Amino acid sequence: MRMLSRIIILVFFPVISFAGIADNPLLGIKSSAMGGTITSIGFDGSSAFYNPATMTFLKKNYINLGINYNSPKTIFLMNTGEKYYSSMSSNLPASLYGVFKFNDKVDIGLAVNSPFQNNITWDKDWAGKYICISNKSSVRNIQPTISYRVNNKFSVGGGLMITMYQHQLSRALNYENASGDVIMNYDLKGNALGLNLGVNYNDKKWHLGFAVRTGLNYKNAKGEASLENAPSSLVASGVLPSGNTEVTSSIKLPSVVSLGAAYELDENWLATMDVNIFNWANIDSLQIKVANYDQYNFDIKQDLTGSYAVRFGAQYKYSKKLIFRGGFAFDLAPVLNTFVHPAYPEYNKFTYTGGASYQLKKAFSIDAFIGYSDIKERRETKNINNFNGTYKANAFIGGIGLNYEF
Amino acid sequence: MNFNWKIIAFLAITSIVSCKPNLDEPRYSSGEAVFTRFVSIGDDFGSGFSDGALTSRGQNSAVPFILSAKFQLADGGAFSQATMQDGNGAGYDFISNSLVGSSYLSSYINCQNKSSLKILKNTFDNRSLDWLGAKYYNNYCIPGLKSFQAYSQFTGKSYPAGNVFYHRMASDTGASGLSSTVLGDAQYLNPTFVMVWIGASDVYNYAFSGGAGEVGGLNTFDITPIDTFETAINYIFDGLTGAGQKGIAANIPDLSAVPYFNALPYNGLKLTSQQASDLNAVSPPGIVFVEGNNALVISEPTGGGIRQIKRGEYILNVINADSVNCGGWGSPQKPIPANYVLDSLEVSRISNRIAIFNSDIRNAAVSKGFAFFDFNRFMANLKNGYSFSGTSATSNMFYGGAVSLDGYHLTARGYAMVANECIKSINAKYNSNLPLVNTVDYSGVLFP
Repeated sequence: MRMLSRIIILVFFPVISFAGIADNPLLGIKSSAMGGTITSIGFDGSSAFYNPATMTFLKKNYINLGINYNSPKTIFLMNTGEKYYSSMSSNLPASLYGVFKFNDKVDIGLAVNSPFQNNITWDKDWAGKYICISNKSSVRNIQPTISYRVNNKFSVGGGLMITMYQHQLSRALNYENASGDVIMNYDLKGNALGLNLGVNYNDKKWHLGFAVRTGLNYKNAKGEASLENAPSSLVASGVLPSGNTEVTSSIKLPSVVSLGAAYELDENWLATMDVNIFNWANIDSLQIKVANYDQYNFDIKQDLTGSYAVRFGAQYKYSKKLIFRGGFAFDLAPVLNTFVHPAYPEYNKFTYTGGASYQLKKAFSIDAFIGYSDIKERRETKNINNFNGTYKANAFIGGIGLNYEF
Repeated sequence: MNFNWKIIAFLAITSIVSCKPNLDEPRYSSGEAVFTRFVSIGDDFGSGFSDGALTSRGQNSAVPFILSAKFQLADGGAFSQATMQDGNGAGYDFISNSLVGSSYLSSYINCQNKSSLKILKNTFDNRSLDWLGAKYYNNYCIPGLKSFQAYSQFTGKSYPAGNVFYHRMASDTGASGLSSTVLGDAQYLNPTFVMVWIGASDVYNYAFSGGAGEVGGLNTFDITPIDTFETAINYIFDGLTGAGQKGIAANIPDLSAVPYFNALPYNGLKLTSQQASDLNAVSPPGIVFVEGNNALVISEPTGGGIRQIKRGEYILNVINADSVNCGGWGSPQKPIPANYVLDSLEVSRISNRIAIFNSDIRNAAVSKGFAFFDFNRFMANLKNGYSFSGTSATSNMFYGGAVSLDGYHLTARGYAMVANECIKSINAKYNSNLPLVNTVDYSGVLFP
């Protein structure tokens, strides 16, 4: 138990000292420790989400409860010489997974998680305030899943993603009074369904997986825009809306295609590799329309390209009770042909992870991981309305989970 | 199990706590320029004049002052200004011919029962023009200063009719009968880098008075004679570049780009068909009204006749929209008085002189190897907008954000935009790499 308390200190300390942003999340604690590799082999209940087909090759039933944390910090060095940091804001996406043997061939599962997360807050008076002050969006997903083992080597699986999208963002409008800028807050929600399909092939020491999550299309996202610090003269003359105004949007999130392979080097060592392909290519704009006030629409127009992530992982069974994991991932950003937007200041990223599982009792074990993402420097010279400078970021990620198997 | 968990935990935690991303600022260099002692000379635009007055707040966004802060990132030295007392500051009303305080916006219900904005003026505080003592400053941009007045003793303290904004900061006591001059004071600091931005008052005093002065005279409302202007410009440049000093020069905006003269459009008389036929019934021959927009009716300067104003003629921003919409002004019964109008003759005189003066300024700048900021083009482009930091500003009154409430001078944000263009020009001319100004840090128009 002393060691356990140390693991908890190790993993939880950053959670307490930093509040974080989750973005492009690594949601399964075990696979996260291995750089996010999971498509070809299931470790626990999280296989219901990452490749439903792998569920039937799990040896037991699983219930997994996990909490992740992610604390990206972005610096923006403007071409005026000023430096701005995004502030840490708290975001701890939780996930719950369950996989149950229905019969010899069929497993059923449930995934409850947040597959897309973005959360960034800049200072209210920072140089990019007219573009974005804060931007927080998330997708909540509930996914019933089923998997069928065709034979001893091959299985298929699928789930229905029932998702809800939430988006809150704020920016300054180009009007001010003696106490500062007019701030517009946008708050909207939407619902969409998606499919999560996979196949899995296992042969002796080899495991291969292929999974597709369809894009999510929130056609009728709706909500309200509200104003802070609106000068009464501008409200009275109709330059600014009085009271809350309806906002609408159609928001698309990309499909994700994942390919994975795993190889068992011996009884104790496992090597894994995944490739994820994110189809951002046909998602070029985000527009949140403000009813009757088009001039206050929130607009992002980018020429995004498809992006991918390459992930490597390894697992080592140190003892019956203790398993170590490590991994590495490279994420290619979808903004190579376009500019980095301060609402989503992501760029090419290297992530290094490590973690462990420790068995507490026969059926209970605890999983944990920590990691570091190094987000590369990117200089902008032709950004939106001459908002130019250099972005750079890093992120500490981590997670802890409870694993119950029976 | 020999892991030393304490060490691992310690290393992990310290690495997490200590590491945030960093980017190094570039090293800034002055290139071939020497910013050590920067001195500016000129008129309202370089003084930070805004909202109809010179205030301490406005001086903090004076273009030379903003530039000096960037120069200090390279080899620039301290930059002092004759700071106004906090408060309403001092300005000049051309129509009432009196000193006033700064302007501010107020919300009111207009004559058509709609919420609207109007400009109110603060009272002028006498003490804001008190003499500051025998001192020297870096910023000799002085509101209302004309080119030839920069080296004239008649501008100084011994002459009450001189420039009151210079009197408060003049280096002499005024007791000897021999006045210090603006140029003499500017030379005293032995500048290494100079900004010359003068000439607007040589033309615009005439424009703001509605053409009350002479074309080619030396009085307040006159347009400066061409040869006087050319002599003065060369004298100022020569006086500040005796040792081959470099600097930047800027020119004069054209009338067509100044919102003060474009606030009320020439065809601002909106009529219903009934109103149009009612007016036609009482109108003299040659004046015909139609439904919709109509050219406003003005008085001829001489002879008592009236006519409709033409496109390209301007009405001073003294006549407000209420006077036209509800007060009957601009109709045959209440023609707009000639002294509130710049007619086509006056406009062409002003525009011609601006073009000539601008070419004089540019020639002087070129011959001295100065960087150049084309303020005239900047103001012309501002009509369509100037984009920065994810937003933009235009020269629209009130809502544009770049031009202050007086319709002529800029807001702090407008001056920051100007400073940016000056920096681009300086960097290009002298191979310096000064960073741009963060325009977002400077305020535009404040709404009630």
